[in-house]
Amino acid sequence: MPSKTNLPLEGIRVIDHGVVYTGTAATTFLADMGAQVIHVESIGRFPSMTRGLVAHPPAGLEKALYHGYKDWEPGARPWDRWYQLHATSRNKLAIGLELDTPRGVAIYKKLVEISDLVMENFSQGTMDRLGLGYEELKKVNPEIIMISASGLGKEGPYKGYSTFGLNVDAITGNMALRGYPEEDMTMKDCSPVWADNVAAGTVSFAALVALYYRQKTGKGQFIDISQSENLLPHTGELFLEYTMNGRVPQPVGNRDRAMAPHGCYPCRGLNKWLTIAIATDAEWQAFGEAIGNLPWTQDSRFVTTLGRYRHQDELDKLVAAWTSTQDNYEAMHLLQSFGVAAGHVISPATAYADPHLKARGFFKEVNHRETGTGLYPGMFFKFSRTPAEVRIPPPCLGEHNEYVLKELLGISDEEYKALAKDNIIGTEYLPGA
Amino acid sequence: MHQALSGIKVLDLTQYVSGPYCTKLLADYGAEVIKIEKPGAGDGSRRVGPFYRDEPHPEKSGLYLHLNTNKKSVTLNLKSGRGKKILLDLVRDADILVENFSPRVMPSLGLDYAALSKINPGLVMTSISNFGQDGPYRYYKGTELTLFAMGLHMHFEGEPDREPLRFPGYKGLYLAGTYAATATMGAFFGAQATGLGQQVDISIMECMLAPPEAGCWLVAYDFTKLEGNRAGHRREASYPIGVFPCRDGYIFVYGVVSFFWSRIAAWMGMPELATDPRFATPVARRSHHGDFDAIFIPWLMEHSRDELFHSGQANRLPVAPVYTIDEALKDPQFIARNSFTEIEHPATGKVTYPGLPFRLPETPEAPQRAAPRLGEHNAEIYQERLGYSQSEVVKLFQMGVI
Repeated sequence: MPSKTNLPLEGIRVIDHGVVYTGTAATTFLADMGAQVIHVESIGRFPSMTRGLVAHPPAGLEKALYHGYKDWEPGARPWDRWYQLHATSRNKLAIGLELDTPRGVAIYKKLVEISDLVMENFSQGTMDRLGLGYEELKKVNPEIIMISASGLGKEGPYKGYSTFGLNVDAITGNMALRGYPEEDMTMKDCSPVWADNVAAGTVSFAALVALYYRQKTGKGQFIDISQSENLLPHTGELFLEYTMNGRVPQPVGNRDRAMAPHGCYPCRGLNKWLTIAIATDAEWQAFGEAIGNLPWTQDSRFVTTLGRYRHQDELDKLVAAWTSTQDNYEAMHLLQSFGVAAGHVISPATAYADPHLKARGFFKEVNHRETGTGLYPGMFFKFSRTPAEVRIPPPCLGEHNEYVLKELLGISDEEYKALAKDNIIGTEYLPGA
Repeated sequence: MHQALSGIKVLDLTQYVSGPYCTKLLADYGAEVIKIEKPGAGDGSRRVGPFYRDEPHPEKSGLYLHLNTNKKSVTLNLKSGRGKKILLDLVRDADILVENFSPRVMPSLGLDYAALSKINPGLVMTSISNFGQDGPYRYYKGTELTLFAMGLHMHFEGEPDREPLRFPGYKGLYLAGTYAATATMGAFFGAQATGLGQQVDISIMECMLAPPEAGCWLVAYDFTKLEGNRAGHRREASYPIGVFPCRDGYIFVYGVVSFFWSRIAAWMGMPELATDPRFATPVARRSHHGDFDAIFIPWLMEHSRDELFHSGQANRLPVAPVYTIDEALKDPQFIARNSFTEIEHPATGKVTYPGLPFRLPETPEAPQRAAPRLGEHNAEIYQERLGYSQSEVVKLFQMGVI
């Protein structure tokens, strides 16, 4: 089934219980680098958001409510046509295995025996409730590494508290710093969930650190990852602003502590924007030349960084007046050709059309059993000797039951049939899931 | 073994944020990271600040101090022939080299991967840049702001009737550093197994486009051709969600999941709201969010943030206090888990920093070495490691090599 690759993590086997963003993406990063990642999913309990909002969306709703499904069509197997699965689960195998049953647990433990790492980000206590906490898994495989990722950590006074990515933003001080300067705290945007991106990277890094340690010492371990804790260093200098100088950082919007102009400016057309960041006087001169030495670019108040910084309210209006007459994409290239840092606010459509991303092969064509051909965002890294590709399309529920149970675990045809008949394994959600 | 990554040798040719955060992660878990800095000036982040007690000084920049813990610093002029020779001597013995120059710099110094791998075929060379090592934008300039714009997140952050926003600080650059550390470790596993290293090309733009969230936005577009837009502060479609006022501050409420509604009613001690026809379904709540605010906000204002946080959690609701930076430092969970750490540096004395992103129970003692002073480890590396004599080191200094 899985073919031999030259990828660096070839030979490492990971059991994945990822849900939503953090867990699913973290193990995808390991899979992209060659690990065999087996997503073990319940067929009796539906993972909300990971494979849809509900297992079987009712028919006949308004079209908007089917957003997220390929071509707005849930189809016969909605859980295999959901965008989050497709975005975060390439290169993995998937088995549908009911862990709420003793027979399911027995099979799971056989899989743990031959695996290197277990990663889960269920709501807290789920693995313990199933009798599959680290202490149990260690009995089966003393060298197993287990990573448990949660919003606030498994231990501490908030043990058991539930969070989503935005809660992490709130408790780490990030949410208070988002938004426009001077606006009321209740106006914070609640859309992008940055914390999960960070946690996905941290979890995959932690996995590799622990695997290296085990390679040297033969020792596994249990790693309790708090998404809040791992976001704190990403705001390090803002914490130091307070701990060194006693100043509480305030939202600055798009502004910088030293650069000006430094903002996001409207361009020609609907919802088109260009960001510009000018650090030095030489860049300011280059900017002036690029836009045809308009009179205000020669204004003596704007000649020095300090002058531009002091007068940036006025400067921003002048820059915006120029950008408003420009196409944001062309203006970016114009300014870049003069050595000025400028970037257009990319949208999904402009990202797909971007010539640079095309030249680098960032988007990958994927052929999928349930959704046909699509063009998906690829890896965040390029390896020069062992390039990473999409080897396995995002797996359908239970797609690899046979391979994992029969070939990896040596379960007989007869037993396999019995497990399927008794709904211990499956490829569809059970009624009521 | 002292630390999880003890024994791994890393050469760090990075500056500012993305590269230094990548090598900080390696150093904080025990790798030996030798930071190569430009003689006289050092890493540009030494001039960024915030500065300790507002004294602009290259050893007092909070950005540098935070991003370079547990590293060693040597000064080396890579443009001089002697400087290059010394670097190659260090490369011979290194496992990993990380750099985040513009893609034209390493080749122009004769230090591209082809040259370095001849000396050390097992070397993993991680190159972090704005747009990657190839492609039409490879020499384009980028900053946190412009890269954030090109990383898709900005398209979704801010009010729909105002300009799009970036995130506070250097979130995109830190993310690229984190992802680069993962890919570096991955490539290092391969190098260990085969003896063959490789170059790891990290584009900051692609780091922002690839991860779970942007990946989902992009696939959603591929599936439905829906562009999406900024939703702003309140999403009536999945009410209640957002930052709400309370007696002594603000609380974040995440009530979007449909079965949370009855929990919210229970939390408020108003179980009748669960079946109130104005609110009983997501569609009804969308139409009557003003009516709900008129009940919800006065109730919130009667309670403190801490009360609401704990009572909300007792009702299994993902609510959280909205802290400012100083308040986050005092949070009992962070304190109990030692999420912050005190580090002593000769230029600043003891200062509290964010600590490790995670703890390893096998090696729980986090190293606590402050960021190095510029060239602090010249003697250790040049004399003890490479065998130069004291007088040779003096000569190299006079020649501007170190």
